[in-house]
Amino acid sequence: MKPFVPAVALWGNRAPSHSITAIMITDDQQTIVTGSQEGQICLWNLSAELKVSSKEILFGHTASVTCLAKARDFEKQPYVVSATENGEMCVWNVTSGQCIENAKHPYRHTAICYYHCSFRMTGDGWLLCCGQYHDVLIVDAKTLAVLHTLISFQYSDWISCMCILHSTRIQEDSLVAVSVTGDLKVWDLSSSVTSIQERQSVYEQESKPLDCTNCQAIRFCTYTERLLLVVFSDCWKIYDYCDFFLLCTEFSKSGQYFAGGEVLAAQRLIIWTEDGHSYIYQLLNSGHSKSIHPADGKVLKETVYPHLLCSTYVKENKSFPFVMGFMNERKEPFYKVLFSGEASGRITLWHIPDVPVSTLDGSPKEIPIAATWTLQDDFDQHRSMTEGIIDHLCASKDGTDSAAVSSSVYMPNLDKLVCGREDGNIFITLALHAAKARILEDISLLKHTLPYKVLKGHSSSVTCLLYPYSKSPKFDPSWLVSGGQDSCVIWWDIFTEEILHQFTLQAGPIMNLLLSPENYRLNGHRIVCCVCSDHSVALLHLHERVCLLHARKHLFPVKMIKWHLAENLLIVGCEDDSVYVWEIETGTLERHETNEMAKAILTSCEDSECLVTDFTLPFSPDTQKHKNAGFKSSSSYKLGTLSHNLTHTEKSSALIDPSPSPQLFTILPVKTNWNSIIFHVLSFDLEKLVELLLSSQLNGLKSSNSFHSYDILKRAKSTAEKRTLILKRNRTAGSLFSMDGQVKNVYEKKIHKDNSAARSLEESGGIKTRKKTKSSKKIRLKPAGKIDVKITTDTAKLLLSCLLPWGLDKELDNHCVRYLDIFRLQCPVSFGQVSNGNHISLMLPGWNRNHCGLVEEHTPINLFSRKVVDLSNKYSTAGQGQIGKKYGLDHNPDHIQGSQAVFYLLNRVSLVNSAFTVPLEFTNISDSPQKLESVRNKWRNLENSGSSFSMLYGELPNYKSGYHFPDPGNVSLMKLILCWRDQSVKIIEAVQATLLAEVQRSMKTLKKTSTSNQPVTMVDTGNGELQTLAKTEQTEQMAECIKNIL
Amino acid sequence: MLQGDALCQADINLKMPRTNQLLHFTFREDKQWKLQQIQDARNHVNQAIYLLTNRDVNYQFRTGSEVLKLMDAVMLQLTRARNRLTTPATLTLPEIASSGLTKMFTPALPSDILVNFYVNLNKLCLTVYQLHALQPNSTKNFRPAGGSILHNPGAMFEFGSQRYEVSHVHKVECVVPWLNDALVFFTVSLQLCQQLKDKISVFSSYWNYRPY
Repeated sequence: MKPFVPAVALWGNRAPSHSITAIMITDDQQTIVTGSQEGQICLWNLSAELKVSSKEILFGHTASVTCLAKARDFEKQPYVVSATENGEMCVWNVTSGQCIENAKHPYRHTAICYYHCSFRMTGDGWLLCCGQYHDVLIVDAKTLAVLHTLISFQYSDWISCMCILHSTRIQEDSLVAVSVTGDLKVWDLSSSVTSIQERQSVYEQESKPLDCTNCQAIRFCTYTERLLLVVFSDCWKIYDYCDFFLLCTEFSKSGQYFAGGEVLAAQRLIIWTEDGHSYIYQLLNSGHSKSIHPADGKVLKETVYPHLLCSTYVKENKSFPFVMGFMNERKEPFYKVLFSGEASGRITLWHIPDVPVSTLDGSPKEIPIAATWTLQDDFDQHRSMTEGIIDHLCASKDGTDSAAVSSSVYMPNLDKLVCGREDGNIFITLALHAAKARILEDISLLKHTLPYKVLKGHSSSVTCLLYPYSKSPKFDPSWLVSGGQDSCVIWWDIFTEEILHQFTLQAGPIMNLLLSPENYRLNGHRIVCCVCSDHSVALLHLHERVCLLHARKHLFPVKMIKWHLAENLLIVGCEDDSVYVWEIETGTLERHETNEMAKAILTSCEDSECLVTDFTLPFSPDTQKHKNAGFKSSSSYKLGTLSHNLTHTEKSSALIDPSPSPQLFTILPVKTNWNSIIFHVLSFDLEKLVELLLSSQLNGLKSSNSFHSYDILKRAKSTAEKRTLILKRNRTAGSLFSMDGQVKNVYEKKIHKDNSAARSLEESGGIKTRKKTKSSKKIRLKPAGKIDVKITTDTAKLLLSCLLPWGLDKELDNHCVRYLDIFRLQCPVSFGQVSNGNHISLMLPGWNRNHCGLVEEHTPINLFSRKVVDLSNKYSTAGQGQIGKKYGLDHNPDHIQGSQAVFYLLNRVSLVNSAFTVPLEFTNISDSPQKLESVRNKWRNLENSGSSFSMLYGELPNYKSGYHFPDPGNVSLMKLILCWRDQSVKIIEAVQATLLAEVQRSMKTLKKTSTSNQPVTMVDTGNGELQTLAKTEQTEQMAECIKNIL
Repeated sequence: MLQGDALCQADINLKMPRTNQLLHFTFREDKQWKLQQIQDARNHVNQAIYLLTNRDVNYQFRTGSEVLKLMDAVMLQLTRARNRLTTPATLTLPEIASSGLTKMFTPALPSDILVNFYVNLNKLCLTVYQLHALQPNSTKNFRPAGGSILHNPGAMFEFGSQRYEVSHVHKVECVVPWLNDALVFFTVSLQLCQQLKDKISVFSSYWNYRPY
């Protein structure tokens, strides 16, 4: 598990598009899972009253989702597997939204069946997959590795649909499948389990041509164990499973195509069509025997004919095929549900009665729609949650629908957010302030004073933005390049708000703006490369204000741009796999190649610098992870543009990349496919935040020259020495990924080494700048320190605001506002969570509907789940009598507000975080040597030769700040938290529970102290008395210093 | 003889270099060999056709994005179909040995001969590998060859607990005119689809147009 990266999504008022391509309902009938063409997976809450609300959206796939299926016995583990068009497979935990396992195969699966036979096989079962390849693949449900194939002896071809037959009568399982050419095949699963495990060839038992193509579904009637329903696109047929005798055929109406079907009960079927209709039939015995085989001497066959009982309709909407499914549950609280998903993102549910009957006069009865819902409905209902990050800036001017943000970029060095909008204006605003104004309540003041600039120049939607300084410090930090739908590229000075130059390309909307690689320069400058929607590529030289080259010959969208440095060539790869080679100097097309030659050219300049762009890819917030999650090299190729650029710089280690590592807070603009809807994700770097807060407090101590600081410094020195050791280790390891850690270490060493001399605030406070010293010479030293501390505390407070369970208890809220000096949330936030590398789950606006539906709309409630309260109670009981008494938080409520408490709470968060992450890293330490964290932990563990708990303490900065011994209270808390982890409590729930308990406790002590009017409560531990006194003094001093700083 | 996706007749005349004897093999009458590449290409085309036809004949498209999505889906299938013909599968030698193709011939192929058929662009290719078994105690260091379209002499592999080395490789190519046509049609249809997409997206700025 990766470290917890707190992320908050700021949606716009339009929902991201979600064209449903696959849909399923989990076995507990509480979650609907949908996969989309955009590659995202949505989880929806399904209430007992069949109400739908969106819960979470899962990012991670880079192509259209083709199928979904359960991946475990659902009662044991709520896992669902998804497969995509480009061969990715992912197993998701649908209750927590985490990605459990992912893999990429060269196979496109179109259907997956989970098979597990407890008494014949060990492990977690198999996923039987079929798709655009021959026969059936067996994939291990746990590791997603391909285990074996079920081969067909005759007419091997793609399998279009299949189902597992389980006969309770003979306790045998078999797989029935129909190939694209219409051959029905049966594999015996039960008897071939061992031969599959031993990798022997398994051939089909039976094969029979059905003389019909485009098979959509095959189902077995488990009630009679005799009938087999096969749905083709233009007819459906009933076979006798015993001898595959055709019992009945029903053709579709003209213009209507069947899409699937299911057996409802004995002799009763439901069939649905591609346009979202469904029909329920009763099979009646025809009485007369229609076909007789006198020659064979067989028994007379009684055929059946269907009688239409009920049907369901949707409103006229034929634009795209529906994906439908049916859930047939015989047990009570569950329903028989027919569900469908549309390309427009709408989910529709029908509740099918247990005994469907026709109307009295015999005509079919229509079953009404039970529920219908889209993502947009949730966005509309929770208006306050779906305000865009800069919406409040422009909404005030006119009450009407304001233009949506169409592109956006974050400037890390200036902490500014630039948003291009659909009306052509570009807004520049302070990122942190904007985020605060958007998320927090009671900052109307801030809202109105929020400084912003508007750049007016484009006449229509701003499609892309580029901030060159973030890619290379050679550029002036005031420069911004924007591209619009009007085919103009404008070069701005954002400080003076001037247009430095305007390039008019006349090539349709600008799709993307890129920078040439670091080592490709023309007259000493990197050039801007812009891709237009008419598939042309233009190279712009900013300094000379010229368009160097406009390559216009491409017939297909540009997929890849590479640079051949030696010969000054631009190599453009198109989506049809053809390659165009342009001479940059002369602007002539040197060659155009297809097929083999094109591939050879593209691979030949693999070593030279290249930029890869892939517009079909939906998503790129993966960037934030690239430092703590080593990209799998296989997947990095297909990641979104932005992320690829970043990984690319990471790979070429010589380059200096100022942007990623030192940020405590980043805003990532996220764009999905198909429409220009953009939303923002705030991501916090928890570790760094804690560290920075610590340093700011340490500095406070130092400058005040308190006698405690000596101790601290001594400790700090020893840790610094330890760290230098680690540093050496890292250097010898030479791992690229340790870069970030090294910087940290260097920094700490610097801080601690010469601590005998009092250091000025500016120097040590400006860590950010220190880290950047390597990269850039232009640092503004003087304001850095102060701004930094302020930003740090502000960021920390914002994070805490987002995490606290507001609305649970009025008193508690007030306490937080008053004593922690943090603000109430304007609305519940959509939290995000990162799992398994670059898989992210983000909560959707409707996430809190299911458990606090009774609360009125205007009282925001930010409780992540009901579990949180229980957990926090457990936490307080576990920590009772031990925690709290030692901490300054409780004893100095009046004069030490804010910072100290914030710092303390953040430490708690990071404690929970480390509890959730560290031990797991321990387990897989051998296979991930580049993980700096684990290496360090291991080392420290050896050093201390202590338990894993002491190792955790070593990791936590708060022990450096003055707690001289590990206290027993924390051990029990750690145990509790570790226990939560094992119970698969979401990390976010654990964090919130911890915070809740801490705040509750601090509130209680506050009450106590205010009544007894005693500043210091009694402490009964042995040496606690002195400790507390010392503590108070220390914190008082800290408070003063902090006040000074602020 | 190639009929659709099936190879129905084949004659192989092989002159063994060592013994100088002429070997003659033909396909069994009762069997035919399906060429996977053509089969896959056909399936992809069928999917594309299904995507295009599974709506009412009188259906009128209402939005441009609808058409764009449809075109994307169709183009994906067409690209894959073309790619199946242009990129032959890279097989390992044990995979070739275990494929049913060896059992297709009459008289049966000797155990030291492997054959493989594949399509590369507009050509039907036949490769014949002559093997010689490696002694279990041979001093040659054994390194099994990976997957490849065409294996070179000297490639080694293990099959059925016996190690082999490729001694000779013979490759025969034959241009299939209809494959050439198919490839041309794929290219043309892809270009048509792209042109349609381009034309529609010209108007995209007007769909979103709102007076500000």
